[in-house]
Amino acid sequence: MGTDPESSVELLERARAGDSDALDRLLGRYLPRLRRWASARLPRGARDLSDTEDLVQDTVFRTLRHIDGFHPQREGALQAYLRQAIMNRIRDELRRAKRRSPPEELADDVLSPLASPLEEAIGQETTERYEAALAELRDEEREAIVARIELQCSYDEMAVMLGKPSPNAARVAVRRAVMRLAEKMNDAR
Amino acid sequence: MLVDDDRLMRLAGAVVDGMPVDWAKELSSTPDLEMRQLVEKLQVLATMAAVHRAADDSTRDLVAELEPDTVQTSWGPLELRRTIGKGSFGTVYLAWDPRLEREVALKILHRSPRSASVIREGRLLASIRHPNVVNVYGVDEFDDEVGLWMELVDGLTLKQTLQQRGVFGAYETALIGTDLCRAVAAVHKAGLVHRDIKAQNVMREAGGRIVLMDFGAGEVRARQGDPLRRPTGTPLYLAPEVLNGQPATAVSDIYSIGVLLYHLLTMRYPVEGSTIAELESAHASRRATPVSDLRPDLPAGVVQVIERALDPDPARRPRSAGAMQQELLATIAPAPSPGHSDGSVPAALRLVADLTADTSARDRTRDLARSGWRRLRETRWLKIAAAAVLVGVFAVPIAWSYRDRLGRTMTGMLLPDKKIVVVLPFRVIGANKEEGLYSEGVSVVLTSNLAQLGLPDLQVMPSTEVREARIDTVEKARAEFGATLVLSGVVQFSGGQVRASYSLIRTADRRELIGRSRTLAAGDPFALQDVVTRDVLTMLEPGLPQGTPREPRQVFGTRDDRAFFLYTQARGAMQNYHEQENVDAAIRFLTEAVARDPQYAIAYAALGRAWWENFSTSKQVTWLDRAGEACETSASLNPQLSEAQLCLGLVKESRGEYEQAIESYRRAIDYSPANDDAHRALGSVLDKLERADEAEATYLRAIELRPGYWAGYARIAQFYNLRNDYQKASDYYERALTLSPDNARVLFSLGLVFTNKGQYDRGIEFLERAIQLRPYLAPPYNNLGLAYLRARRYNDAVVPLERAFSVLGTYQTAGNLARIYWLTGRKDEARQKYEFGIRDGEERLQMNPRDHGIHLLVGRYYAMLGRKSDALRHLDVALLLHPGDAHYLTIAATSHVVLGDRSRALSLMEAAARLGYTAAQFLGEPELDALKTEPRYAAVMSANGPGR
Repeated sequence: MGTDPESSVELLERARAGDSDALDRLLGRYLPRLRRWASARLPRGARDLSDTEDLVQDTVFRTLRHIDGFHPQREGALQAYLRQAIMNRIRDELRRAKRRSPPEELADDVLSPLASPLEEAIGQETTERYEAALAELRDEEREAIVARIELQCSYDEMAVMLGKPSPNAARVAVRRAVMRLAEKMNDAR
Repeated sequence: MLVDDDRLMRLAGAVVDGMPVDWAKELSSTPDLEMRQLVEKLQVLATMAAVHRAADDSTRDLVAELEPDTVQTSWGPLELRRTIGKGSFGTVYLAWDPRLEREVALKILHRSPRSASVIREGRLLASIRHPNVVNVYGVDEFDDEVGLWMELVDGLTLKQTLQQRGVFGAYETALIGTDLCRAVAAVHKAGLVHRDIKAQNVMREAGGRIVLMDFGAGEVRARQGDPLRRPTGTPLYLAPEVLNGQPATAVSDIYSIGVLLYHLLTMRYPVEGSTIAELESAHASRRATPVSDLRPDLPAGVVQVIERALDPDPARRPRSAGAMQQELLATIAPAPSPGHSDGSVPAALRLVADLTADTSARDRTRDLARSGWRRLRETRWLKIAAAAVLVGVFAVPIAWSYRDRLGRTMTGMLLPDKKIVVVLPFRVIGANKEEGLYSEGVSVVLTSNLAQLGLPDLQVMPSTEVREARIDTVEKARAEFGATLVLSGVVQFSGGQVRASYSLIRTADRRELIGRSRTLAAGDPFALQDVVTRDVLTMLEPGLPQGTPREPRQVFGTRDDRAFFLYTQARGAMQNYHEQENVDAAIRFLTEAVARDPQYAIAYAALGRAWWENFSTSKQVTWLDRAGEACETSASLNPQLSEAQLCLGLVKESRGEYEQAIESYRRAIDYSPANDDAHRALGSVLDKLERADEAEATYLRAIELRPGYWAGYARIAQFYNLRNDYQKASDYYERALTLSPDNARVLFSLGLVFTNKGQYDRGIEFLERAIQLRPYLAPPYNNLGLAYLRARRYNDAVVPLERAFSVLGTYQTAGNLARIYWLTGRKDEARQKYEFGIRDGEERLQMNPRDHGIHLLVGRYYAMLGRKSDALRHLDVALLLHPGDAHYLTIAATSHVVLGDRSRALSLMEAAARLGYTAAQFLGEPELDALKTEPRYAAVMSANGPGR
């Protein structure tokens, strides 16, 4: 697949200038990972994979197109930004799905909306607490967590993303970020 | 302190590295509270990482991922890759067998003194070779551990499917039951008893093959001297005699099969209890719920088979799994009557063929050798066709002239005026994966053939919709789509032949208009489609002029039989396009198809679509380019081909060329107005671009192009409903109904629109009709009961609400039932149900404390029981989380009335009125009557008029 890949930040600049090949490459980098991530956050059974793809792709497309004013310094920042955009979109979708009917009525198709895989594992409240604590971290710390814990990037990739001199330095950084996140989650009770 | 920091760092390191940690041990060895809380948070983060790691693997057991596994990396000759599942018996791993050069599932059992007999049983298992039993490759012992390795089945368990999609239909359950019985019969024949048959232990592979798994519990028995003497197997599935301590037998396995089928149909169990003691007591007092209570729609035959299997007296159950299988088959089709071989048979769906025939590879190879087509042995599709000479499909030209003109005229008169056809999935008996793919393709291609002919007055339901709605019976087709005709069939591949039975059935009275059984030589599977299409077309279009036989190409797109078959297979595979290997298979088939016939336009379009799927997954531009090429080729071969344009549209949309995509979609629609895919695609692009007006116009145009298609109206009605334009929504739903008068989906939706507007009587009318058509779902009963309640027809409301609760006991159905009990003076029963509602609601709030709907209703329930502070707590949260909803405010108002706080109730009413709640809607909440004497009440009611 080639030697040293150009940075996503460069690709973004080119994509913004109208380079559709750069846009494609950018999508190629982020979409599979983001899609996997999204499937952990969407209710099981309420959506199937093709819907997930649309939602993720659509959000990323829109975000990249309307990204004026955001100039990420690091890859990690761009990634975290996209992830947040998708998170917001998921929230909107869920809110919209629940909208119209009075609460005593039963919807026809979905007899009981199931929790997302993540909610099943740790519960809704903990998920919310995690998100809240994550938002309170410094940017670099948040990006590190998002990259490693959520998007499962390797340390090599993270070194590039976070602008660290080595993969080990990236590991140290994310480990420290995890500690801080745990502390924040503890505080927020 | 330093030590603790180090320790935390170490744990944090493990979390980020993804290494296993014994959290229980770490937590228990941390006395300091604050430190322990930190460790807990680290555990949460480790869990998050695991969840995201496993995120795209729906078949893997997530729970197992979360627990620390051993650092074992190999076992004997197998390399361990990942933990897939865990149970009381041991652990299941994804492993690599370098000898077989494939991935396998490896089950390593807990150490037990019974190793020798486990190995013996395992070898017996390995000797079972049956398409519906998981293929065990071997069993052995290394390092004191006994392990069993077997094929890795790619699919979901029946339990997972049940959870995701709800209860199964009778037909589908009976079919699953027959396959399961065959599997269990094979196990029994090998001298084993399964002991642990349950929905978690039966998988359905992507192509439809049912696979019985997991003999784990079979090996582990209660230890000697164990005072509890707990039987193995899942208690809810255990036959009563086994629960009592008797050894498991073949008929206790049969009992478990009965429980499984019961569970698939109802999501519940025949005998229930939350502890073993309760369960034993329930069995002892014979407290079982008959399946027909929960599913009154089931055919009597199915009910009987299941209840027999569930008989507490083992001697009265079916004697063998084979016997049970026969009984189930009889429910799918009555026994063939003697004296009919081929040729038309005026009976309901007929099942020809020897159903216990085993299509072994050996037979196929023998046939192959006989026919001399040795080189074709390797070709995948022939494994299905099971060899032999290709029979020329068009040896008999497709002549529309019928010898028996009289017969044709007569049958023509039997056709319903509105011809709305649903092609049910053609069932392949004993399907392995490839046969399953083929059968899906048959239904798809038949649908498409019939639709493409563009016969006036003929609507054919798209196969994707049929599949998504899980339509597998005549009744369901009638209820869901208002079908007036159903085409269904059964196919079996056996020893070099294809045997098939199919019927065209008039849904109004289930009369069979055409019934055929045929045996075709294998190697000619597409001939089946030809034959069926011919029969159906002849039936439907008696007026086609003689002497203008349709060119085969026009109907099938190609003259090359094999290319057509490959295309059929590819269509079948693409029904499950989520799974990569199906897309890959489709690409292989289609590539070969176009190699054989370079003029095969529709195959190019399908190929482009498949490549586009790959692009969609991988985002690699090369796929998109290839897709583009294939679509272009298709379009150039046949400029009028809708699928080609649709293909092009997708490619362009993916390139961000939205405007051009819209162009292509428009063309696709023009060339094939019945092409639903294209409408959906166009509508959604427009919606994406927030061009709601144009989306609306598209939907309207779609209606114009095909004014006879009910779904076009229903689609736009939904569009309006979501935008709160109730008047338009109900108008369009009504129009949909005139076209498809028995369409339960539309009836239900329309009923809801009326009810929400406050027009309860009309709403009731429609909901009642919807229920008649689909009497086995809870929501219509619930909503009908609510409509009666609001219309103040209290006595009429009781039965539907009771039924809703009995089908689905949730906080909603409980609360609604409680409400009607209260309003009809049955206060004690009402209180019980409110308590139930509170329990269920509180439990759900544990999982989701931000669900304001639950808070609201639970708050009301507390209010009804006079528990003021609990009530207020929940109501306040609800309104805080979800402000600005007039209905919420009104429910809160009713609660405050009951709690005695009239002033607050009135304020809430006023707020709701300001948001547009009408007097008619207020009248729908009888609890507010208590405020009638208040001047503020009168003011609110007159200000908002009587409502529409």
